[in-house]
Amino acid sequence: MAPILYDRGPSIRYEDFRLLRDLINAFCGIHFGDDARYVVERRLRDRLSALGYEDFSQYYHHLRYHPEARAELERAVDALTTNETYFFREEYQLRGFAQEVLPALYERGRQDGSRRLTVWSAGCSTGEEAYSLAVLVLETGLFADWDVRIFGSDISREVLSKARRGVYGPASFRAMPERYERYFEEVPGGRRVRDEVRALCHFGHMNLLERHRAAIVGRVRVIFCRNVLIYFDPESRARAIDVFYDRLVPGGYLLLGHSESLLNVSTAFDLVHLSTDLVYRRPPTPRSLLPPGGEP
Amino acid sequence: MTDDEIVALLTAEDPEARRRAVVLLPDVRGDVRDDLMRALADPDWRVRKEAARVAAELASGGELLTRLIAAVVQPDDVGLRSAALEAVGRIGPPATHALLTALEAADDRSRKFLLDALGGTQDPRAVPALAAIAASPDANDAAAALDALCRVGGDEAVRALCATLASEDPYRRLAALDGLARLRAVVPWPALAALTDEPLARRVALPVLGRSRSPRAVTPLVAALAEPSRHVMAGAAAALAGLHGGGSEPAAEVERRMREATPELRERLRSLIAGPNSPHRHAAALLLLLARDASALGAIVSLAATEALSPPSLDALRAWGRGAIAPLLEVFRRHAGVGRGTALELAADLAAGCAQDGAPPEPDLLDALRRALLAGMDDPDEAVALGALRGLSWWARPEDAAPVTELAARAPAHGAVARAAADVLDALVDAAPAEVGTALDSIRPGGGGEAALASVVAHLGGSHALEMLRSALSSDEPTSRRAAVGALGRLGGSQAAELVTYALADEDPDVQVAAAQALGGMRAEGGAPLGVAALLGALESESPTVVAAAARALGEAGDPGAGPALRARVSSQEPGVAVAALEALRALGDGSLSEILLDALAHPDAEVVKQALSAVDLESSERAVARLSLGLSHAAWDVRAHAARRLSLIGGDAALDALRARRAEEPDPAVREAIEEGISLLEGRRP
Repeated sequence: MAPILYDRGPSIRYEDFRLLRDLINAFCGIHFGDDARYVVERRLRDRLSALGYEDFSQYYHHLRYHPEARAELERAVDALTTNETYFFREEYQLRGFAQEVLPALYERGRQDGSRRLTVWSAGCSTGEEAYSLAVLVLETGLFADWDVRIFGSDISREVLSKARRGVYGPASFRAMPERYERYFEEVPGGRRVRDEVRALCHFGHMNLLERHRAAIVGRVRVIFCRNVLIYFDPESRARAIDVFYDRLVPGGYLLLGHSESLLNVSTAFDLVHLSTDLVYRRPPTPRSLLPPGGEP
Repeated sequence: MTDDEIVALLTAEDPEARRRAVVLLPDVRGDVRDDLMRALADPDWRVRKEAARVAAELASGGELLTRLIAAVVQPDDVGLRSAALEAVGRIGPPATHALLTALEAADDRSRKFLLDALGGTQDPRAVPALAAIAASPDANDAAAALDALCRVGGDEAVRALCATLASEDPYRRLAALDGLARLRAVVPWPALAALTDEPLARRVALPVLGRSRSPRAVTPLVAALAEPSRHVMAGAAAALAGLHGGGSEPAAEVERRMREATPELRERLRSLIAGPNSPHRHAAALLLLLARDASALGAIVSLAATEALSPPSLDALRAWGRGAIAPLLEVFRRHAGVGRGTALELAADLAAGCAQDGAPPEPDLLDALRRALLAGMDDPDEAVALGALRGLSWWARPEDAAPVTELAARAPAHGAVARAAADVLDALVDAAPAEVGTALDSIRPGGGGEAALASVVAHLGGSHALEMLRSALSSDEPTSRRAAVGALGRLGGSQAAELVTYALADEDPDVQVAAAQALGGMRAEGGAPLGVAALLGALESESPTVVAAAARALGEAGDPGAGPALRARVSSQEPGVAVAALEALRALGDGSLSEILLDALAHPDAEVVKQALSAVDLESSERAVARLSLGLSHAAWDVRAHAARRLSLIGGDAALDALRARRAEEPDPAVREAIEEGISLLEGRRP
């Protein structure tokens, strides 16, 4: 039976699929199994068309040798990943964050006098997670006169520009509790995040495997990285976790997606039982009391 | 760090300090066995886990392994046992012999722990012992042995598990089924038939039924779709989708049963498409397409828009054909989620498929389709406009030229919408040149539409085309100039070639690249290549991509005079340039290529080596085999695969010997496949 016309375009040979897969994996850690070959083929065809290529080996050469290869790699990753998210996704976990983690951080900040709350939404996509966290911080009322910064990063420039715009359609609000409606205002094209929430949020372009660039984030008290690492191969996952360890202050928290765990990835984190979730924490021992090395 | 310091850390109160100390142990202390064994029994799981890792790195044999095995079988400390099991598992096959020896002397209490450890080694040499115990009278031992067989895997383990399916003990049957499911084994239907009557076994058997390749597996799977448990229903759906891919007989039976599916069953499948599990969503989509369920199309096109439909699902949609067109148009009209553009595009493509098959849809339906496509073109959602334009490329009429051109002019230049609009016009040019020409005349010079439609202008041709494209070359947008250059290449002729040649001096390298690419195919009236001198000049560019493009273009131009300049570039440090030069020399049939191949075969970049392997002259078989054999031992798998394929083209004993020798040691499955295909070919058997 002939392929459906909708599926017209160059076919990807196994060799080209594997070479492209390995290139993308080395670039950003995302891994595609052999059964995802047709997805890669379908989603990259538009890039071939945009560049005027007729087959995937030409595209591979472009990603290897062209001076703008890195920018094209980012576009390829953008085309290959599903960036769909929404406000207050996995609400049970956010409840634990609001009711247990934030009060604990408040107490610690009060005791050490730092009055600074920094949160990193790693793989923030179109920004709904970062804004959700900001809303929760505001709702607690605990951090009114603190220095609060929520940094959202992603490898896709396209989603970042949507995050900065802060205007969302109905699908983004499908799981949002009504009590948070007041943080949004109606505008043409959808609903916009209000300024008091936006003021807490910053967005930036980042590849989770680039340890040196992660220094931009500074040291943070909480990292959210949900439903991102599941797309990584084990080695890349371990590298990303190393970056998170590095960026967290001692006692800082790491929150992953509900199907993700560090069990066979890293022993560097404590497991903390919240009432609704399990989260990870960098051990609170100050660096000065530990031997050098032995870090992930 | 001194011994005393490390000892202090190993006994520190803080578990993080102890964990770090374990990591440092091998670098700091000589004999760490005692320390590791204590760390394996640490109260903190993270310390134990690090100790397991370090122990595995150090204990491929000898006393430490003996102590680890003793820790596995000791009865008192569960944490220590788990850590020791993990360590032994990490050691893998080197631990097998010691474990088998210990197993022979094991008592009833310790046997099951050793079986667990053997499973962790994943060593096929453990299978005979495990298979024997799996059939023993002791149920606990048998259960442990079956679990271990699952973890070892491989054909022998699968055979042992299949044999257990006939056991009189229902729990052994279940354990074996579970193992076969985890191993994704293909189990023939006769071994499964009796199990489908057992309620508990039936549930566990779902994935195994899905791989059985038997049409008889369809009935129990369809029955499972109706079970109250959503988990079971989803598993059955996934298994049915897998079974559908298992051959024409099961596929036909799955399709037949889906067509007969009750409304309740269809509703259950529809609920899966909206669920969180991607494989289940796709399985449900396939089954509902086989069922030709119009109510599911909204969710299915959303899936297509966000995740891409699998090839079997697309085949099912194609088979549905004209019956799906009207429902898809309805999805476009009423659906609130993503996928409206996809629905339009699919509807148009299905209609085109019907027409190509000689049975176009009814006029009313085609009219409805066109109305939807034209409405979609004006939709504010770019995805919808894109889908509409792609669909319209099949169904455009002359009167569409003007609105499509207008859309191209106002869409972001070089975006997908502009490209799709250009494709529509390209499709119309032959049937309606006057209308397309009139529409293009309305394009403002220097505007975005000019860039997007450059290729259409070239296709249209005529005296006007050259002027329009010359004007586009003056754009201050490099992407517009690039599009114009490409279009001039398509237009052809000496005047166009002259303009393209100027573009080799453009300040933007991508425009230069486009110019080189265009010149490669341009010919004078007598057939002589145009712009060769300029292309030779472009070989001196500072930009490697321009040099590479110029090299390829010289190969395409076919001028043998370019040989020396190209040969000089084979040794370029820029792999893209070396690859292009080799390609060009092959295209020219350059006789001196074989002299420079040895250097290329030693290039650090795999793409250069592959290109050099492609250039090896197969006629001189002895030398060719020698050179290609170098490729068979290259570090990169794709080079080895390429070398194997090239060797299979030579034929003869030397090539066959080389392939056979490599087969024995080749670790990569894709390369092994290429080698096997080559061997089969050369041995006179078709794969």
